[in-house]
Amino acid sequence: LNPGAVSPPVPGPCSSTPGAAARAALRRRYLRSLAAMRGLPVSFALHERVRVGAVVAAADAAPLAFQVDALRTPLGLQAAALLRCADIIAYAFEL
Amino acid sequence: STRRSVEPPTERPGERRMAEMEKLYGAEAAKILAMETAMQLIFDRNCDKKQPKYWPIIPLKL
Amino acid sequence: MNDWQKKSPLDWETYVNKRVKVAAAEKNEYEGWVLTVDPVSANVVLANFPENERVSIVVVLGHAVQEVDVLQEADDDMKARLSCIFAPEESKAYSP
Repeated sequence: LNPGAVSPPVPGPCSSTPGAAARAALRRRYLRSLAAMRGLPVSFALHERVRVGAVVAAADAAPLAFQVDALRTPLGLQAAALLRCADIIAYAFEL
Repeated sequence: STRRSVEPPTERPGERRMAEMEKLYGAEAAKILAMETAMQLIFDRNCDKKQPKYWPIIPLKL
Repeated sequence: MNDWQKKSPLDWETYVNKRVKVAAAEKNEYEGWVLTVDPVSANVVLANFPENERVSIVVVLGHAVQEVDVLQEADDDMKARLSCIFAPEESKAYSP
C-alpha cells in the first residue's frame, strides 16, 4: 500500500474517469501542436475570405488569440500583431 | 473591524484552479496546467515586449 | 455553440486516427488524418503527408466546423506515423 496516496479528494493516477482521461489526452496533443507551431510560418484563412501569412510567436492557453510576427496582410506588413481565433476559420503549417 | 480584508483567504485561487483542473483532466491535471502556464507566460511576455495590436482592428466575425 | 463544439471528449476521441472531410464556414473544405481535437476550443488538428514533402498540418477552428465525415480508418502503420508527429519534446518546445 502506498502511504503517499491517502488524501481522498485528490485523484491518484488510476482514478481518472474515462471522460477525463480522453480530455487530457486530446488537450495534451493540442498543446503540443501549439508549441510545435512556434517560430514557423503559418497561413491563416480568416472570415470574409481574408488570407494572411505570419510567423507565429505565441498562443495564449485557451487559445483565444495568436501573437504573430511579420504579418502579411492585403494592406501591407505588420511587425507584430494579434489574430483573434474568432476571426480564423483554419490555419496551416508544415513540419 | 476594517482590517478584515487583509486576512488571508481560507482558499487560495491556485488551489481552486487546480481542483477545477483535476475535475476536468483527472490524473494528468498538473501536467496540463504546467503546459498551459508555460504557454501563457510566453504569450504574456511577448505582449508586454512587442505591444501587438489586434488585426484586423475590428473583428471580422462577432 | 455548434453541434461539433457540444460533443464530449469521448465523442471527439472516436475521430482520432480517422481520415475525415471537414466542412467549415464560408464553404471551406479540409481533408486529413485527425491527430486530436482540442477539448477546450473543439479545434480539429489534421495531418497530411504530401509525396516527398514535409508533414502538412491544418487546424480547423471548432467554431467554424459545420460537418465532419469519416472517410477511412488508419492502419497500424499510419497510426504509428501519426503518433510521432507531435512527440514530446518538452525541453525544446517550451523553452523561451
